Amino acid sequence: MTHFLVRRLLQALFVVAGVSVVVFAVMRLSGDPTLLLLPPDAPAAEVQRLRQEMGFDQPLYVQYVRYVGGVLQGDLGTSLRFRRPTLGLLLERLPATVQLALAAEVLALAVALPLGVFAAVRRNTVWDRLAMVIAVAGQSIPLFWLGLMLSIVFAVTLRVLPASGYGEWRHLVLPAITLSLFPLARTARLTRSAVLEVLYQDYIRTARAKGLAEQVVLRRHALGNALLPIVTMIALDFGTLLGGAVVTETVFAWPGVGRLTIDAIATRDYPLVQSAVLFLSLVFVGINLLTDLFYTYLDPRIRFA
Amino acid sequence: MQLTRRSLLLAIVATLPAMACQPATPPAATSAPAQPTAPSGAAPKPTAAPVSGAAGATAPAAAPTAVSRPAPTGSLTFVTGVEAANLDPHAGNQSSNPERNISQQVLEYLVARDSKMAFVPMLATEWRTIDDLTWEFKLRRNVKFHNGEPLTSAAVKFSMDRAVRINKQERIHQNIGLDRVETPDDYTVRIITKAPAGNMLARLTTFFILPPQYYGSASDEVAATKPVGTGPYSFVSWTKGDRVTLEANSDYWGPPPAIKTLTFRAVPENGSRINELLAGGADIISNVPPDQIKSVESATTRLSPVQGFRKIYLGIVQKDSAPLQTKEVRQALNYAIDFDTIGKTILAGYGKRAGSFTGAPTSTNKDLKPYAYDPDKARQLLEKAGHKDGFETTLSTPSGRYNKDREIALALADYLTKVGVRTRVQVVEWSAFIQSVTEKTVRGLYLLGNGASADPIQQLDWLGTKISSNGTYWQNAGFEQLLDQARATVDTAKQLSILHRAEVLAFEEAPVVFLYQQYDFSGVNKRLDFETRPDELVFFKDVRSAA
Repeated sequence: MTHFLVRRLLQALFVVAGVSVVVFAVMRLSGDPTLLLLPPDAPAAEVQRLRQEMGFDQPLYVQYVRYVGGVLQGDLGTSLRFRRPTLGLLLERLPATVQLALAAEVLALAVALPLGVFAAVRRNTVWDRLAMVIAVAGQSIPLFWLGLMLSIVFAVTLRVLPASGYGEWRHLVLPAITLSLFPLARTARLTRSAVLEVLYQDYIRTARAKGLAEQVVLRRHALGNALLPIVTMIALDFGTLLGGAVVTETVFAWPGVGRLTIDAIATRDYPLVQSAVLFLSLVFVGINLLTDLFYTYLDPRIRFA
Repeated sequence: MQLTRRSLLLAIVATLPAMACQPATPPAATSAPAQPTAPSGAAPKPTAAPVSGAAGATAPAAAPTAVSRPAPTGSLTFVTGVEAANLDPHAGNQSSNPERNISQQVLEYLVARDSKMAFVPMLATEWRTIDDLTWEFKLRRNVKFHNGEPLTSAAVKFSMDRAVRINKQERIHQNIGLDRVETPDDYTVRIITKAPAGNMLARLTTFFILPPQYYGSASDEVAATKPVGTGPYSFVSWTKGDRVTLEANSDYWGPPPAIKTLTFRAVPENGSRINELLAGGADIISNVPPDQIKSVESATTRLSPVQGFRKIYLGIVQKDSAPLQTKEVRQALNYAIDFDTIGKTILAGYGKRAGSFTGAPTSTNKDLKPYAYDPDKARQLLEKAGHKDGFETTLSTPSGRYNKDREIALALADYLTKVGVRTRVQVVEWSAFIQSVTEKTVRGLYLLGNGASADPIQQLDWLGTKISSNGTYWQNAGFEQLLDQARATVDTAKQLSILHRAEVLAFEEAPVVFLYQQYDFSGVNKRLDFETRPDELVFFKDVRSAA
């Protein structure tokens, strides 16, 4: 168990370090940030002065070492636009992102689990097909388009919900629906196949042979065992939702981490972009790690593998 | 059986709203500092005393006297594409409009520009130049900051000193060549410069005056998030990433604003921003992309177009190109282009060929007629310059930086090719593009827009050697001399005539292909009497309900 934990931690560390190198390099490859910080009519002397001040005149590896040194001391850098430490900015936006991701995940599960089980139980009927068509559609519709359509229907035409913003529960409805669609579809399909697989196991046949009611068989014997891959998927999805709500947050002007990141990219606030990506990769890796640990709890075989 | 499954589902669904609403507190809402009651009972009333200055610098008529107006009512939501990052008037980048449009409702300048871009009094009621190096400003009396501090000359001195001390981007002291600020009495300020500052008034229209006690003791955090000024609106709260809320200042020195509550929001996605206007969630939206201007027209909303100050032009790089070093060839390029057709088609009618390189109605050289579309003359000029068979060149353009920039570049290349200048278009990502211009490594032609400034010196600087973003390698001693002379001329009228001479010289020399003045588009709810200003700034104290 300890061995497993140590190995996974080292892997996670390696991933995060890799991400930091890539982001650092990519941000620097796309041009000198100094020029984007100053108005275009800034005198050349001013450009040179700021370049020195920000350390952009140093070789890349020196800049990188300085950056890593800061990170290790908990200093992710200072945002150029906000002129505040980036970590504070990210933490400030995290609650909104968690709120949206939670709402979307709960919504997705509320629909996906019953839908998947229903489709599995009624396999190869019209109902099954219909459920899976909905699921596939959910996976294929671009979030961007869906978000705008929902806002045109419910905000512009019907005027029952706000088109964007943050604050009340009404603001949450459209972004949550938009963001839930993908995990909903994925979980529904996975639930269906997981339940189907379990339904053909010997112990299910035994349960039925004992004369248990179908409902009991499903609930007590099938669902519990089918849950293992579903839990993994849910956790991974949640990680993706936390980091990947970029499109939804942008379309609905939701003040989360994703939108902060996009704004930072658009304004070339490179310390903020670096920190955001590092932060999101930490969240993602962290959730993966937790999932793995949870997995070992659910299925002891993995612990000793 | 069915029932239990259904009830399970219902139970999950029922928990949803509860889950969703859990973190109901918005992230880090900062609220306004407590407003102390005004120490003196005297109600501030606007004073106005227009006086024409010595040495030619004149103060125009002072602000209108207060007419009895109803108390502010209702609310207005202004939605932009980019959220404000930092509301410290000196630390943040106040040349960017998201911040400035919020700040200038709360804080005020000594001098402002009206919608025609003429200088008008704001916190200064009159001004004059004592000598070439000394500007004197008389301050408006009985003006109070929102925290109760009185406006005195000490506040102006404090603001200038603070800007010099803390900031990196507000370059007021460099721009005007500030030497020192003197305060002979409470309502007189003398700004002394190291060299004659012809751009003094222009630069003061972006410089906020702050209360010394408040900003003197405020932490960086407070200064960046809770602005205090003399403006028609006072700061209420800022929910990070979502909205800034302001409320009408009941103690304002001027006529009270019509609208009580202002909300500033940012919706980055263009389609969503337009939806917000159509849905009634926004009253004014800025930055409507030109290909979506039709979609803001509805029963309740309208388009508000304005010709901004940004001039779009083709830089002609003389280095490494013998033909482009010849004046006739550069003129030929100007004659070869039918920009009005490009304006009618690609720009949906919002683009007319420009003559003058400066944009403001008060400074533009109306005698300069744009180069006409004359392909025959272009060919003649090329032949005269020894390029009868034409030559090859490239045209670099960013994509998405300016309205339809890539499409315009392609059309321009086509026109140039028709007269024999075989032009290949290169689309370059913006940051790499601007770097190539600034470091002067770009060759051939490049499509660029100058800064959207109302200041003619600042605009003509784009053709000179003083700024970094001129990659043309055009150097003309006469032009530089005229610009320097204008910079050192404090008399506005004299300065303008010098600038006009510089402009005629540049027009003749054709260091660039003069194209057009870009339009900006806003969407507005029809209930408001509001038009976009060409400098893209909004003064909400002037916004009223439509009659």
